[in-house]
Amino acid sequence: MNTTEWFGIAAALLIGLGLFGVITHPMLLRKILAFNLVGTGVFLLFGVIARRGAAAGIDGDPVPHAFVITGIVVAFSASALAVTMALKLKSDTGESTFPDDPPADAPDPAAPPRP
Amino acid sequence: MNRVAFRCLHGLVIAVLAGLAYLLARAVLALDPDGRGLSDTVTSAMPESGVLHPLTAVLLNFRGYDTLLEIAVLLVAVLAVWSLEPPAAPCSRVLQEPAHRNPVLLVGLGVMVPMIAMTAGYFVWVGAYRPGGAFQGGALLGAIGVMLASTGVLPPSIRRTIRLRLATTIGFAVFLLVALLTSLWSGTLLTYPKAWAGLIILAIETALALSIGVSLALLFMAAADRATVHREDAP
Repeated sequence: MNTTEWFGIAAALLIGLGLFGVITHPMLLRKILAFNLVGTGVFLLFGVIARRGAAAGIDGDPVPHAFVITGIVVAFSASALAVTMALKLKSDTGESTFPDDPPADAPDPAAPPRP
Repeated sequence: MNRVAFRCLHGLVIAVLAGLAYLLARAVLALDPDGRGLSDTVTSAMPESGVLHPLTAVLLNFRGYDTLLEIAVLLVAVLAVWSLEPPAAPCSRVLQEPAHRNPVLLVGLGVMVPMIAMTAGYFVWVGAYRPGGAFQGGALLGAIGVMLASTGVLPPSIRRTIRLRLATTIGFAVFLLVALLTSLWSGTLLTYPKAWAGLIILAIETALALSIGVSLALLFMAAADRATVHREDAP
């Protein structure tokens, strides 16, 4: 196992953890953060893929590198848009969480809805 | 949904994602460690690129189309954020005081902002033969905007003047103009004439860095503005 391979495993873990957050957390901000975790994993994955090109005598395969560089800026702008929309939702509805189906410790369905 | 079903669903999600992560890790480990990817293709085409650094050559020349669309995405993000109507009331109570009340902050900004601006310019210029370029320079310019906005030097709800709009669009505009001219001249999109390639890339990168910096700062400010109570009349 060399360093590059460990980075590859870390990238796979980050993507798995991030997707877990995107799927399970009802809070919008947490979803955005988790999505950024997925993005970080993808960037790391591209770094690992680029590293293979080092055999050619340059730092790495420049094509995946270029994808990451543009990708970081796009990820930032997408996150900023998502945060702005979440804040807009918060100011319009007072909620920044998806209405989730709470587990059994929640009151029974006949009870009045939470304020 | 009862607790047991919720737990089961949770477990299922964990199992599926653990499987996905395992497959991804296996796929990465299965890559040929001595593979060369596209390095050889890029290296052999470098003399035609007009620059000496392979990354800049890929970004602005070989795969310029990707970068053109990327700057378009950035512009669309700014337009989308602007098109959401301004907040009626701030969403959370983050108090912001103007920087002119804090002399240490002002002196610090006075030192740092010019240094960062200079470094951004250096990054754009050095991208021709070293790591650097429009995105790194633009990110630094964006950092200046974030600093000025979060210290209250820039007005919280910045006025969308024609100059600001021009700065936001100039990167995409210059890139699109180059694409149009090259497609008229050589018949293919973004195929630069070899003798002019270096100059064209520098022109695009300069415009791109400005637009990226302004766009990143505007995106930050739009989100921050929604979450901030501005206190101009603080004691």
